[in-house]
Parts: sequence; C-alpha cells; structure tokens
Amino acid sequence: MKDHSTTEDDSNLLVIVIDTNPFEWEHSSAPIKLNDALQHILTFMNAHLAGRHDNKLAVIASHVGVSQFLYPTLNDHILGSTQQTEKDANVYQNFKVVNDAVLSGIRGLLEDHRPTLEEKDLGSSKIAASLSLGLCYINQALKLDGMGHVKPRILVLTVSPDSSSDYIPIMNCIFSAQKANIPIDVCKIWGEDAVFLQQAAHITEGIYMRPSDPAGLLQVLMFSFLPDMFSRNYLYLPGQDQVDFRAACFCHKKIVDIGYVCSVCLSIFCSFSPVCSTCRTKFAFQPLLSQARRLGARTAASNPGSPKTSTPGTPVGTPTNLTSSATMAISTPSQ
Amino acid sequence: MVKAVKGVVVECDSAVKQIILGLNEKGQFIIEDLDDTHVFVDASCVDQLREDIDQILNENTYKVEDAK
Amino acid sequence: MSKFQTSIHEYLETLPLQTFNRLYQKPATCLAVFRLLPPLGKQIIMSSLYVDPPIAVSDMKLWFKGSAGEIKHTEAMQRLKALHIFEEVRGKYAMNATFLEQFRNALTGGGNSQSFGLATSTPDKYHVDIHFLDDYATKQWEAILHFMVGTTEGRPPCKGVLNLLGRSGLMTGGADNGGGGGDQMDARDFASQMARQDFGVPKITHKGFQFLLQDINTQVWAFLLQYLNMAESLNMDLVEVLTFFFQLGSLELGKDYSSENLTPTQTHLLEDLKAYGIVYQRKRGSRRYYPTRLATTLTSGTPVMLGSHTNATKIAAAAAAKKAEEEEEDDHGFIVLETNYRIYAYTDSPLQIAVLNLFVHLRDRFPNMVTGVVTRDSIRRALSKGITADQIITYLTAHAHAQMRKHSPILPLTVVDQIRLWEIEKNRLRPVPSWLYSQFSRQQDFESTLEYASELDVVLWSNQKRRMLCITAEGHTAVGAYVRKLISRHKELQAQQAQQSSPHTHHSPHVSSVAS
Repeated sequence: MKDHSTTEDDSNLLVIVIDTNPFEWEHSSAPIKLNDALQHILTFMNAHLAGRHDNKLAVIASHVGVSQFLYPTLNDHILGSTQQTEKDANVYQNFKVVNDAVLSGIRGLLEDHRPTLEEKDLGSSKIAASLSLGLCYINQALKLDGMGHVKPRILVLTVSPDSSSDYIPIMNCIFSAQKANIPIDVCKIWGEDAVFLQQAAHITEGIYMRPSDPAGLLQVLMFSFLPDMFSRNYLYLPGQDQVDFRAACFCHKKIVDIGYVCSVCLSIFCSFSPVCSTCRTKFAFQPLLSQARRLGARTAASNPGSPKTSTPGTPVGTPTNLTSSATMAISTPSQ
Repeated sequence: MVKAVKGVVVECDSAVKQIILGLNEKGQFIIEDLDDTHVFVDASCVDQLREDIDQILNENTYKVEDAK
Repeated sequence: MSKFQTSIHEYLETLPLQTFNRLYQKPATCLAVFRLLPPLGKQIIMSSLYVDPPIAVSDMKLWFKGSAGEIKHTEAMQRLKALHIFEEVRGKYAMNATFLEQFRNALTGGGNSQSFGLATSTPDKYHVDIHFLDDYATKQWEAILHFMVGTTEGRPPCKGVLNLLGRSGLMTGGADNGGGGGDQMDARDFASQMARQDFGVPKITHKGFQFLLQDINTQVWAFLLQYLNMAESLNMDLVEVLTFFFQLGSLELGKDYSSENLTPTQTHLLEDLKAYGIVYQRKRGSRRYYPTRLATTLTSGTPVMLGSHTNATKIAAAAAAKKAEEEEEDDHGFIVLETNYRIYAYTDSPLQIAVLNLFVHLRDRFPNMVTGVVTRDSIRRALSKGITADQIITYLTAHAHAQMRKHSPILPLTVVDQIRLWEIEKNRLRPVPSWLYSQFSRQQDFESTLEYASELDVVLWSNQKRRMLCITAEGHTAVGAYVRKLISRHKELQAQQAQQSSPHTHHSPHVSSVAS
C-alpha cells in the first residue's frame, strides 16, 4: 500500500492531454485559436515546471484517429534526453526543451495526420487512448520512483464533444485511475459539458471546469489546475454541484437515462435482449414487457445533449422472480 | 525580612536529586533544598557537580560493548 | 538541519527593498526566489500573476479552506511580504511590479536579460562530460571536507577556502581563541596565520562538526552565505553576487557557458567558486565555464546526489558512463545499522569514515567497508563536541543503505531511541543562574512580589507555603527594587500606625533591606 498522504516535499508528475481535434479548433465558432490556446498552455506548463526542480511533465496529443506523446518523445528515452536544442540565454533551458518539443510535435501532427472527413464521422479525438497512454506513463514513473514521493495527476484539455463509442474505454481508464489514486482534472475549453470526462473528474476527485471565457484560459489554468496535491488540501477549488451520470449503452453506444443492466456483468443495454452480449448470460424470463417497451421508447427519445442529473436508486419495473438472473435498474456507474 | 541570595537553581529528576543530596554530604554546596526536582546551589560548584553526577551515572551504566 | 537550510531565506529577508528591486530585474533570480517559497506561496503568485488589478485582502482569504488553510495563507503571505513580492496597499495585495514583469518573462521566455547563462558559440575542443564534472566537483568539495576533519588526503585547499572556513567559524586556528573566534578575526589574518608553518593545525569547531553532518546542498549554501557576508566587507556588489548564484542554479549540467559578458565582480566570483568545485574552468581566464552538479542543484532544494570519491563508483562509472547519475544515486546510501547497534558502512572514502568516526566506535576496516558499534561512549563523545542526537539520526537516515530503505522506519527504533536517551541523559541537570528570595514576613508581600515577577516572566520556581521564589538573574534588579519599595511602604504604614496608637506596644517586624 502506497502512502497517499501529501507533504510539501512531494514532486508532482503532471500528464497533460491536449485535444488537438482540428475540426473543433478550426471551426468558425471556436472562441480561441489553437495557436493562442497553445501559448496559454505552454505558459501553464512552464508554471508547473517552475514550481519545483523535480516537477515532471508529460504531454500527450489526442488527435483525430491518433494519440501520441509530444513530450517526452520516444527518442528522448532511447538517447537519454540528449536532444539538441538551441540555447537561448533568455529562457530557462528546462522550459525551452518542453516547449519546443510540444510545438514541433503538434506542428507535425497537424501536417501529417490531416484527417479526412470520413474519419471525423468515426468519432472525435482519441481521449480514451490518450488517457490510457497517460496512465501507463504514470505507472512506469511511479515504479521507477518507488518511494511514493511523486504525486501524479492528469489534466485533460478538451474541446471535442463526447463520442459515445469511447464510453467503455474511458470508463475503464477512470476506474484504473481511481484505483491508483490519480486525479483526472478536466478543462472543457468550450462547448457542451463533456459527460464522460465530468464523471472522470468526479470519480477520481479531480477538478472539472468549463471556463466561462475561453480567451482567459491561462488564468483558469493557473488558478484552478495548477495547485498540486498538497496545496489542494488548503484551497477552495471549483467543484461540481451537478454531475451527469448517464452512461452509454453497450449495444448502440447511445447515452441513456434509463436502461437495462445485466445483473452478472453490469453491462448496460438500451433495450432488452434475452442474452447478455458481454458475458453471454441467458435471461430466462421476459421483463414486464409493456413497461419495458415504454421505457425503451423514452430512452430512444431522450436527447443526449441535455444534461440531467440521474436519480440513482429508483427501481423500475423489477420482475418478482428475484432468483432469476435478470433485473432492471437505473444504471449508475459511480463508485 | 526578605532575603535574596545569589546562586543557581538546578532543575533535575528526582533520582539525580538524591545523588545531589548524597554529594552534598561531602561538601556543603546546597543553599536551599527547594523540592523534589529543584535545588538551589552555590554558583561556583555547578561544573564540579555536573562532572560528579556524570561520573556516578557512568559507574551505574551497563554497557553493551563486547569484552574484546 | 533547518539551521543551515533556512538561512538563505533568512538572509534574503534581511535585505532592503532597493536590493530586491535590483535583484528582481533578472528572470533567473525571480525563478530561483520563487522556488524557495512554500507551496501555497507559489500558488498565490501563480494565481495572481495574470490578474491585473490588485487583489483585495478579503478576497484572497476566500481562496483558502478552513482554519488550516488560513494558517498556511498567513505563513505564505508573511514570506511573500518579507521578500517584497507582495505589498499590502489600502486593503489590497499588490505584486512588486519588477517581479511581476520579470517572472512573467521567466515563464514565457520574454525580455532580453540573458540571465539564464549565455551559451558559448563554439564547441570546446577539450571534451568535458558530466562524469568529469562530477568528479571535479567531488574532488574539490571533498578536499575542503578532508581538510576539516584533518585527514591528510590531497593538498590543502587554497587560501580563499581557508579564509571562508575561518570566517564562518567552522574552524579555528590552533591557538586557543575558542569556538566561533573566526568572527572577530579578519579574514586575511586568518589565512596568513594558517599558511604559516609554525601556526599548527587549525582545529575544527563545534559548528564545523555539525556542518560535516549536513547534506552537501546545505553545506554549499552555508558556504555561499558566508561568502555573501564576506562579499560585503570586500566591497563586492551584493546584487551581482546573488544574481550570479541564482543564475548558476538555472544552468544545465554538462553544458558550457560563456564567461565573456560577466561583470568584473562576477569574474572574480567565478575564480572563487572554482575553488569550491561549484564551477569548472579549464584554466584561469578561460572564455568558457561549466557549472557542476553542485551549482545546478543549488536552487532545487533536493539533496545533491554527488557520489563520494570511492573506487566503487569509479569502476561503475567507467563501466557505464552514461548511467553515471544513477550509479551515484545508489552510492548515496552506504550505511547499514542493525538493532544490535552494529553499523556496517560500505565505503572506502576516508572522509566518510572520518565523519562516521565522530559518533561510531569503529572496529574493523575492510577494503570496501568498515564495521563499528554505536556505543554510549561514542555517542557521548559526539555530544560533547556539540553534535546533537538529531543530527546523528538525520545523517544516518540520509545515508542509509538501499537495503535499509525498504524498512519503515528506516533506522531501527531501538537505536534511534537509545541515541536520544543518551542525549537526554547527558542533560539531566538544568542549572539556571538565579536569585532566591525567602523569608517574606507577610503572605501579601510574597504574593504581590510573585505576581509582579510573573508579569515580568522572570519566575523560575516558587512555593507559596514556604514563601520562597527564584528569580532569573535578569529579573533581579527589577524585582529587588519592587521588594524594597514594598517594604519601605510597609514600614511607613507601620510608623503611622505606631504614631496613632503609641502606647500600644508593637512588635515592629524586623525588616531589612534586600541583601545583595
């Protein structure tokens, strides 16, 4: 069991996931350009590195269809970070190395992976993949450290809407992070609330924020997302009063308010099926059909865009046969 | 009549206090025996007292070192 | 531990506002000062860095959670004010304009201050790698420590170092000018005295012993602070010296920097720092210099993982020069302490052995290790040199072998407790020079005297029943006067009474003035 208490002497490992989805950034309604936002984010990274000599940083780009490390890059690891960057007496060398790597990485991404419109339809950026990369990186860093002095956290800077096909992988990441005690902070720079990431922040005790003015991104980052785990004990930070707990069904990846839950593996379905597609459990009975149909109709009609706080624990049409293998309940994948 | 005397208040635990009382029998240096943990002594003898107590305590200490 | 560590903060806090305004003109200095702050102090700066109007005091209070947060807030704010980063103006916190601008520059790489070290334009034809620098730093620094413990390894350090050792009171001359005598002695005198053959061996002081047990980073800072004190008397510009120290902390290990645009003061400084092993210059007046690990970790607050000069590391480093860093980290812990008070130290460094010898009864020496026992006598010997139990324990913890680090706590509790007990045992007497007041004739007199003395906070001991109290030596004058006044007033009162009822025979109490 690792020591989870925080002290002043902890170093902080911050993994930043930047959503670089060009469809969103280059959208005409985008309130801030990627270039400007990057300036803010780079300053924020420097601020993190400035905090302590041994503060560590990793930056992952979550692009459309691809997710990759911007810093540290793979080459750095092999060559022992002997990357040659030109020195500039006006800049702290540590900052420069990171900033250059991130900028050139993003430039490379935007040039090489110019996604076609078909890819856009497939889904938005690869948040789940980036989260997994981040978690793996943290795991490795913690193993190397071994002393419990490194306090990791993840910060997701996202602009893309939720892609419901990502639900299961994101949920898996969230639970891994929760288990490893890694908070996931989420900054949805603009647009609708990101339902899954909101849950991520809630479950891992991270911070979720949707700034009112995206042009003032830097101030939001500095004020709410910079405090390390030690400082958070003493500061009031933005909390969430309303969390949208809705889940996506496993069969059609639709976001549902009320659905069917397999009593064996807790898979969620929007409509009743006699065999669970995840664990192959056979349900030997028919639920109260009329009610189920009505529910199913309502689920289909529900608009995934409207956030609604779920009311956990409201039992819905449970069959009397409790020994049988299927029950229905509200799906609340909370802890 | 109020009397004021110059000296040194020595605060110690009661065991050491007893040793001090014992030492006092040889050469009178205690001006006033205050209570179990305090004793008022002549300023000039503090260093000597410290040394004596150290020595007595030393004699009564069991040491872990091996014989060789 | 904290005695040396905090001193750079304390030192900075003594400086006037003007000095700060000049210091903050360099982004590198701003960054270094920033890193010295407590975590919440850093957060306050970051939170307000991009807010233009000053923040109301009451608003900032709202950032902090509960009473614990409030305490942290007050602490942090005190430091920020002492360093002149924030100023309270009309109920608002205003950030120092210079600091604000330059710290923003530090984060964004703006401005043109060149405070992060100017790189050389041409590559060095003499190859210098990190390993070489580590070696150099270790050699130089250990030469100083060797000299302090009196082992005859290597040549004695140069004059500048001797100066500093004397000035800082870490060592004194062979003559009996007692501990801390270095302060009164002129720096130059000391060095010339040391250089004289007939002078005898300079002796290490209590402070010096404590110094030896600190980690290297603390030692280096202690040295540099002393240097700062000396710089003032040598008419060097303090700001330039400090700026250069902080700049060194921001440089990158293994890179060469140009010494061409340094001021004359800084060039002079470079010469001195070379002697301590903080920077490396191939030859005097060379156009380039290299910071060593001692320099680059100056502002990090983390212990320097500078391997000692052991054969083990040399071999390991040669085998895997690239991995030098990790190897040295391993070497960092070499002590195994068992519950039976035995100690095994895997080292062949005469320096480390000499340091251990301060508080361990060493028994056997092998090519790669020494064994010994922690005994009552060995600890008492150390205690009598002014080393504290805490320092010993900190040293043992800091240098515990990797094998020991797997346990929690790292050191066996029995031994730690025993070392502490031995320290307590040594201080069983607590003598305080004082005055004993006794034979108060009236209870009121005693009580009012006691009350008066308690107000002055000079009471050491008191007993109501026996009407006795002990007053510290400092309080004697005041309390004595008070008693005298009390008695004379009492006497007057009685004289009046006696006049009023003269036929009545009266036992006038025997009142004497306070004996002194």
